[in-house]
Amino acid sequence: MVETENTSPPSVPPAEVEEVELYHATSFWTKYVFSQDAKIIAIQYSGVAIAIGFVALVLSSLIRLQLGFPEMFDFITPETYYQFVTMHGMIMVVYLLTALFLGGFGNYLIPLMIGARDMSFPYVNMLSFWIYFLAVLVLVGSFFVPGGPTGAGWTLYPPQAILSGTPGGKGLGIILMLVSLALFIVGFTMGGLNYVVTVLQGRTRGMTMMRLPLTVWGIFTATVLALLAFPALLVATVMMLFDRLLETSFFMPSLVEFGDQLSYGGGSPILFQHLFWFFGHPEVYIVALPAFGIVSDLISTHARKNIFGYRMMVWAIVGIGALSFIVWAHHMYVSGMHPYFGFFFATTTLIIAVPTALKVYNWILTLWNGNIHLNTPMLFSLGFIVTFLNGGLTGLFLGNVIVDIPLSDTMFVVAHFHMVMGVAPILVVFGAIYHWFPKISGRMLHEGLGKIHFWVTFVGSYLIFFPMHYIGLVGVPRRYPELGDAAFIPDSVATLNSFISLAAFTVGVAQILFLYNVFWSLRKGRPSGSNPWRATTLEWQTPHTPPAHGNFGPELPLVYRWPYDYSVPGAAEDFLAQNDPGSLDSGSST
Amino acid sequence: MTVVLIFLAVVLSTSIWWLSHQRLGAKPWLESGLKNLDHGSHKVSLPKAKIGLLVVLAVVGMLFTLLFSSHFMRQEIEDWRSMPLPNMLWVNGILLLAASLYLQSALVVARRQATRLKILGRGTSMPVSIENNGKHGNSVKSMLINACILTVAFLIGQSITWYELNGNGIFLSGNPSSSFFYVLTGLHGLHIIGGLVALFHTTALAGSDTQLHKIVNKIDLCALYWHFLFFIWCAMIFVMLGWTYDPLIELCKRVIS
Ligand code: HEM
Ligand SMILES: [Cu+2]
Repeated sequence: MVETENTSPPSVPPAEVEEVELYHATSFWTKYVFSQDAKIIAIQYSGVAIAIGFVALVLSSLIRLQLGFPEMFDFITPETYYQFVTMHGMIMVVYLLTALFLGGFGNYLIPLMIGARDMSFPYVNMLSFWIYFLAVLVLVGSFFVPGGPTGAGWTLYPPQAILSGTPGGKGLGIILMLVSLALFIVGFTMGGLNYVVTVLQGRTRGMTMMRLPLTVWGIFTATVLALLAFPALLVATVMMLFDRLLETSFFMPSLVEFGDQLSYGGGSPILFQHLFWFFGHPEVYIVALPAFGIVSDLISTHARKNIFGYRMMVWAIVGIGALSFIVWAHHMYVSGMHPYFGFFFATTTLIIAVPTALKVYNWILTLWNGNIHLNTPMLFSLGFIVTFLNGGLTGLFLGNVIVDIPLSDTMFVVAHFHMVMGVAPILVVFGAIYHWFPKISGRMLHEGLGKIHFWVTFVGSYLIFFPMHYIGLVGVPRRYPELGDAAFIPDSVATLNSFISLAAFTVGVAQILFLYNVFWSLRKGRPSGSNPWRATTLEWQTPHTPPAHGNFGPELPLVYRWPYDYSVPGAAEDFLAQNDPGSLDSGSST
Repeated sequence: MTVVLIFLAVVLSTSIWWLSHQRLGAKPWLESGLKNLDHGSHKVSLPKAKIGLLVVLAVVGMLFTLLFSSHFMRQEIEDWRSMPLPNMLWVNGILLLAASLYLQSALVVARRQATRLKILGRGTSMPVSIENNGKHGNSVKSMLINACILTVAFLIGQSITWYELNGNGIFLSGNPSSSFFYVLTGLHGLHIIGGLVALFHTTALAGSDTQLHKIVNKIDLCALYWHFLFFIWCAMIFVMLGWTYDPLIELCKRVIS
């Protein structure tokens, strides 16, 4: 890391923002371990999320090992296969993406971007991380208990999730999974409280809601969604724990298992599905909205153009957020629901496509005639736009009841959701890391390695997931460790599966390149200075890089303009930072 | 899922109402410079702890309305047998209500005293012990203590209810109606216990030297939380009484089909 001083401290009149008492760490422990500084917490969150994410990546390779080369590896039994699939899905969605976007990027960027010294409740913020860490430990612990982790699928549908036929169902596996989720939710709620209150209360003078960078809008709205959606998962996990441990019958119907009549009776598995997807669908947007926001800022900065239709972008984020609560049952078309419900949910699902499509148009119009710098963050952003569009289109297919019914539970669904909520957000994560790494460490990531990383990941992902659509269309079901000799499955499927697996291993290995780049650049990277991308938002205007405790110097910055004044005619450089008064007398610019 | 959607609609429309006052129609790309510096930068005028509490209440509200929704969906299934609610519950309800009212009056008195001090020119930022300020201070502290005692009594009452039900053979794992009873009341009790920690803290502060306005804010938060939990408690009883089998609902069902 290098420390740089901002050479030209912006000359601004003092801010009349009431100063908050800042917590000051005194020892190593309170400074770096039990830290209450949002920036440290952000790094802790990101570190743990990425580490556990690598576990999920390894699991995906094991899944592909089995699917590509069935019966070659003795250590992958049907049971372990289910455990790999379940843990892979759950970790990727909850413990990696949710934690990284909100706990990682949220903590780092919210205070810096809105001109605050820290989060509103730093102590609660610290607790949030440590509870998350505990949740991850419990999750990891479940790999080592007798019977192993749960193999119920990331959806954990009862009754199978807590029966003996499912790996971990009668052992500790499922219990630890549920406990870990409950912990995660409690921890997240503490963090989420901070993100919301900080955005509402901590903004510096002049930072109106309509001057917030879209990154903050995305993270803010996603946090609101998460705060309101996670309780559904909590209720479901608590009730399932009771069913499993205390023999209540919330979700469990009467059952005969291996000839024994179980003590359950009358419970409703469909009730669980409702609760799960009431959380599960908003979860897609919890991951997508921060990605939307970040991508907007990245393409605007790296194409040196103001974002097209800022207002509409904001409205779309809020609109998508609100709508995402009334589409959940599109995951339940095959649960035997009333056709009118299916019709209703298909309609709402298609309506949500409107604001989403609008965002895609606006990104493209932002790029139109822009001065596009094809550097790594830009490449990842472009990759995101294409991939998200792709996954969105297959989403329109699946949103229609008649199309979904034959495709439900096939590899087509797997290909679809990997495009929208797997590959697309991960590309943004990488883009964001390449973009903000200089601020966090004071050094640039290596550009050449970054480009190789991008191309292998991007092309590789398409080689993995494009053929998977075809496999699904042919009718290959998901969650099957082996296909056997089914008459409807052509031979080409086996060939394709091996091919996909080879592509998956390549993508997996390419991520080591990224890790290497991070560690190498931390020590040897080119010093970046305080604002290498010539960006406008406040985090690039801090007096120190990496930002010191308290983020800004003695005075908080004053905000004079929106965050997208790029390519301003007549400006000294081609941009005006948000805290740049510009020509004081004029009421407008650009 | 109707109940939870109604609650969600309330939360979301409040947020969107607030947002709509944030000049969402502004054209930020046309507005720059000092002139517009404070134009529309409305922060929420509440103290941050209160906003925080409101957010928490929204989350807690979701939690309970989701359970209510689940209750309604589960009670449609034939094996459901409504459970007679123990009479003790009504006593408990009154205890909780009384605690809530004590907190409210403590708030009123403390606020009045804060304004009085301000008028006397002594400023609220001066360290003033409530207790040392005549009978007002004493009454605030004793009201807080009463609220604590009543709440603890409520918790004891709830435990007695559980104990009696268990004695009568109504267990957690019995009919789903009793499972829901235990889960709902248990979760509610946990939230009360959480609140009690804060209330004890506030009560302790009320005795020592402290800044008056700080403690007023704290009492304010406690009172709000208690009102909310009392409200949830009433809703809970309402749901568990099974009043949804009302002729009204039946009528609606018939109209639809
Ligand atoms: C190299 C990257 C990845 C590969 C090769 C991969 C591959 C797979 C495969 C083969 C399955 C199992 C399909 C089945 O048999 O049902 C699966 C499931 C899943 N994956 Fe991935 N995946 C990757 C990344 C991700 C990411 C980034 C996410 C984040 C959203 C994700 C989320 C899921 C989910 C939710 C499931 C479903 C688990 C279940 O069925 O319970 N995956 N993945
Ligand atoms: Cu969905």
